[in-house]
Amino acid sequence: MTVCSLLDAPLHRDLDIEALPADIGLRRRLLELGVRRGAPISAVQRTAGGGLLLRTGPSRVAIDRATCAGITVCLASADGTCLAASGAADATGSPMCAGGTGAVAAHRADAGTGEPSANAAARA
Amino acid sequence: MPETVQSSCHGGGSVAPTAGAPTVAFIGCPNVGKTTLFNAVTGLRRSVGNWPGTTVETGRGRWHVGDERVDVIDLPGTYSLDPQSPDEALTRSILVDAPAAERPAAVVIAADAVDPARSLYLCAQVRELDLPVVVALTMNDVAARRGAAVDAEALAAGLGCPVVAVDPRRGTGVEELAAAVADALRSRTMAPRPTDAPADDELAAMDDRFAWIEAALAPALAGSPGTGDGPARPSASERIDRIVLHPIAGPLVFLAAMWAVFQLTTIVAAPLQDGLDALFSGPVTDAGAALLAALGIDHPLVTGLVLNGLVAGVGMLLTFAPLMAIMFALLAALEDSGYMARAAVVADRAMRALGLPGRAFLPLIVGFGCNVPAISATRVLSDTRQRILTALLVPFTSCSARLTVYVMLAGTFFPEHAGTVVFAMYVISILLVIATGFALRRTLWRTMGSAPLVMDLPPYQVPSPRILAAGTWVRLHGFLQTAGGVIVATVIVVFALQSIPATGDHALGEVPPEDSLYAAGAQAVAPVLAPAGFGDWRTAGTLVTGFVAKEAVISSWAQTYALEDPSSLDAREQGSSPLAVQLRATFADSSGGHTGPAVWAFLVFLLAYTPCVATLAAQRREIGLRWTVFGVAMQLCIAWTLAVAVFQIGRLIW
Repeated sequence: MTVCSLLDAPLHRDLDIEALPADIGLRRRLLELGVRRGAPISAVQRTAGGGLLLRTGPSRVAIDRATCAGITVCLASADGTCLAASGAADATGSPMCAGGTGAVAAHRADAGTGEPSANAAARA
Repeated sequence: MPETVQSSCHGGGSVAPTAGAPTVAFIGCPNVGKTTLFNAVTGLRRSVGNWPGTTVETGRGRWHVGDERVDVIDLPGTYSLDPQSPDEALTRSILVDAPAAERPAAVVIAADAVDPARSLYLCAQVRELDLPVVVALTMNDVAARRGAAVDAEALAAGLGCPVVAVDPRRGTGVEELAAAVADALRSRTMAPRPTDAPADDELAAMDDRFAWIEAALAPALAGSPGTGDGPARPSASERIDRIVLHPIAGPLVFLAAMWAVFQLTTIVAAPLQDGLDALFSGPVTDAGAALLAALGIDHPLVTGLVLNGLVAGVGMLLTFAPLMAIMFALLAALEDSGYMARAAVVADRAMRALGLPGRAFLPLIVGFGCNVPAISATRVLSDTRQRILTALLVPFTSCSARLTVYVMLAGTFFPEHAGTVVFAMYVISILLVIATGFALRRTLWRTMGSAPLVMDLPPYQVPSPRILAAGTWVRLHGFLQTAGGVIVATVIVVFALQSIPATGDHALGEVPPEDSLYAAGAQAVAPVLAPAGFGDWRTAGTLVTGFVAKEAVISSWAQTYALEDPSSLDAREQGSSPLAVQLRATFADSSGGHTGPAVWAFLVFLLAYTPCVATLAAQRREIGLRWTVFGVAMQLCIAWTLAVAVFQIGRLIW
């Protein structure tokens, strides 16, 4: 799967939430504002301070840089599933996600071993 | 609801709970029109103030529902019953934690038809209780324009509670809402919604609620052609945000907005304040004197108490009215327009260094004009702990009243560098705010985490002048009520001290300054200031007068020397006035010849100590008496320590 942190995700692409930060209060607030698995999410703009402006359904949510870095997403395909194949590129040949190797490595470790990890508890 | 709800000394409190009347609570997410709806149903029969025992602001009002008059409370916006701040925790404490007999008789949940899935999460939680619930669906016109209109009846069937479409800004649907609430009050209880989620699995419970909401919404949205996911092309709000939130343009827009706020609260308010001051010190005082004379009252103490105490005190209070009205109106306009949320995003990174959210920038900026409205502006912070911290930092912003003293002293002692001296005071002010903020964050506020920024951005809208005016009046009325007593009482006390002889054979009200109780008190305080190089009673007395109002520092200084007030002169003329001559001699004497360091020490003390009694009154209203007293103690300690350090170190080299 091509996953990365929200901070590294491309703008104006449909995203699926894979994991949220472990902090229970922060995770709860993100869920309440519609940032959750299965909800239509896209990053529409980078904001002053390095954060992101997300579209969550009909609403928009501003999130700071550190929180964005703690949210793991994958690019949604036309049929709603997560785009497969690591290192996938878009039509121009550019990588789907910029950087984010830390999140990708952790996620691959979870998926590969099938063993629960710290991220499992933070899944949306 | 407990009878103690009206025992609070905070806030306006002009709308008392009606004995035996049921209470209806208005709750909802931020920015869904909850407070606008509350204002629409209560009209002018409402007040704002702190909930008893807290510094959380709530609205209280009365509402005629059917044949009954109910008490209405407007609780702070919250996304759920799982609070992230003390303000959100109040809703939970009232709906969930309070004994059944003390809970509201019914709950009105304001929900946004544009994003009903988000708004209804709170409804899903409240429906797990046995409280009668009515959903007030707002922004139906916006939802309809997007092709995502919500069928209120179908939604009501899905939620198991009444749903009423309302437009709070136009007042439509309010009567239907009242009828639904009347029915809910008659039923007294509502069966909780069934849930299968395990009680100890929070994530499963959240999933259950979202699934319930989706099931309830599906038939309500079935007839709408739009997906509700937003328009295909960018909305006006999105186009504006491309600039307002841009990494480069955004901060520029923000600075321009803050500059406009600063200008409006200083330049626009100033002539109105001057006019009121002239009115009270002129015609009103003259009329009072004439009235007293007509009544045959001519004892100096009585006439002085009435004219220089009571009338002057009321006049001082009312001179703040234009300033506070402008501030309240600006706050409401920024909030109602939707820009406040954007400003918080732009300023977030800079304010995070102080452990404060982006919104804290606004009160600190306003403080450089006047600390009084700046304290009130801390209301933009929803978290009580952040509000208290910011309110404690505001007094260190150098207000325009202090500027008059800077200019006078700079012109007197540093005539060739007066501008630089004044500029340096503002730099010191900023450094003091930052340093004090750091210190408090690492001590008393060390457990307050740096809250992440996760903020819903409401669509931009043009503020309603009618709603702005009504809200401004309610807030201004509350300020005058709570701050008025403190300000007027303080002015009267200072006048009394200046009119009562401590030494010499003088009649009451005919006392030379140096023989008054005022001077005796100043002489008692002066030794404390000696280590700072200005331990003269006339200088100490000025600081006492400055506690009442910084604008009175120069005039009271002149009074102690029996000289003319040079405030109306320009800086150069002030520097060569008779008062300036006397001040040079006084500082030289009290500092042992180290005049420069002593003047700098005095300037630093003036900057850091308590701004004025009006600021204290505003602080007491916003953060309570205990924190206000703490603030005073902190200011005096910091002021004295810094002043002594400046003088003791400065005299070694100057």
